[in-house]
Amino acid sequence: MTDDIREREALERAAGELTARLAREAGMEPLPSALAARLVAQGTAITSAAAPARVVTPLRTPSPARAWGLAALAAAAGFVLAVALRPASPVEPPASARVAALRDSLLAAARPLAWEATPDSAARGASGDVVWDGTRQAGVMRIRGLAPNDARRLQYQLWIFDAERDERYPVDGGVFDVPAEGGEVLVPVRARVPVGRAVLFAVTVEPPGGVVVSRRERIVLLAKAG
Amino acid sequence: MDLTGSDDATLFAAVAAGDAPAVNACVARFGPLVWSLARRWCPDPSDAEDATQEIFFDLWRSAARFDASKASGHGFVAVIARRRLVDRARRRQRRPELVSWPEEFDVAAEGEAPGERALAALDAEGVLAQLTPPQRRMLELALLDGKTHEEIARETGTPIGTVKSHIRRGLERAKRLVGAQVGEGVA
Repeated sequence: MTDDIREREALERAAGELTARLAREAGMEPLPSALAARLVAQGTAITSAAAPARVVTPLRTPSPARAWGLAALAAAAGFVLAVALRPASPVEPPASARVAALRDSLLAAARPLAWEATPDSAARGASGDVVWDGTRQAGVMRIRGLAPNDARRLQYQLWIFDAERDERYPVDGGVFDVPAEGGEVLVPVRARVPVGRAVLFAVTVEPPGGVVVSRRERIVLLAKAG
Repeated sequence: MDLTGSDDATLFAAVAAGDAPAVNACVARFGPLVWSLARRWCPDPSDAEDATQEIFFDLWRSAARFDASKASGHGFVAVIARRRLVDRARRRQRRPELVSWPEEFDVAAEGEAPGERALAALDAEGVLAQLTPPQRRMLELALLDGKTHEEIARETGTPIGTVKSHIRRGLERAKRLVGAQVGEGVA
């Protein structure tokens, strides 16, 4: 970041502090309750969708049969406990099994696209693929060898280039982290808006929380359709 | 988890993690600030409601970037609110002259990260207390109400050249005070 940008941001923050103080001294109006309710509803939906995707690092990707076999065992154990202790509650398979099962189910209808690592230092030796099913509007990235990130400083963000949209504005596919232990990670795709025809997937390095429009300064992975 | 009394950093981190109670607490804590600014900047309540929703949309997306060493929670939210309100004002063909800080209003370089250090030490109350009443009034109209130089001149019955010089001097005064606080509190 240049000194000019840093100083400008610092001045913006200074203006923010002064503005907040002036507003406090002038007396603040309570938020209308109906508007507050709308903000909470919208905020809950947006933040839950924007939260970093849960990245799973299975030692080996469980097959659907194995995953759901585990789920069945868990369900059976849950049933025994439920009978003994309290009314039954649904028992879900672990997140890794769910994402792996989702990927397997997507592979039945869509072809995986191999990641191509860019020369960026974070991508050295990275590989994997992304599978996307436009009908289901669901996808899963499988990534190996991408550098672990410090989520306080930066995060990875997926972009989906849609042939039916202006290429300057790819669809935000969600932010995610690569844990320090590395290994293979599976990341569910979280497209913010419907994707018509995905032709290119790109992973960029962005500030924490991701961005609305990427400057595309650090592109680490690319996967092209066709 | 009850986040009503949590510090701002904890609250924003929880929002960024998609915690629903944190969203509720965030609206309760910062809603009055956002709404008050929107009401002052926007021509009518309907427009203010739209602006408030846009500001909170930006806030949800930006929560992970909050850094308590650089800004207070209310200051952080005010920055986001001002950016959005400026955008909306520009769309209405108004061009507030203060929102983009004047080119000549620079912060003197102070080592590696002058702006960040200055901001960390900024005591907004202290800065405001040391402004002259005219300087403070001009800053209020510009920062709080989003008035242009021309509007401030009309509202205060002051020649526009005087308005500009008051604002300029007020900003320079603030700059010096911020710089002095850096020397006292952070260096």
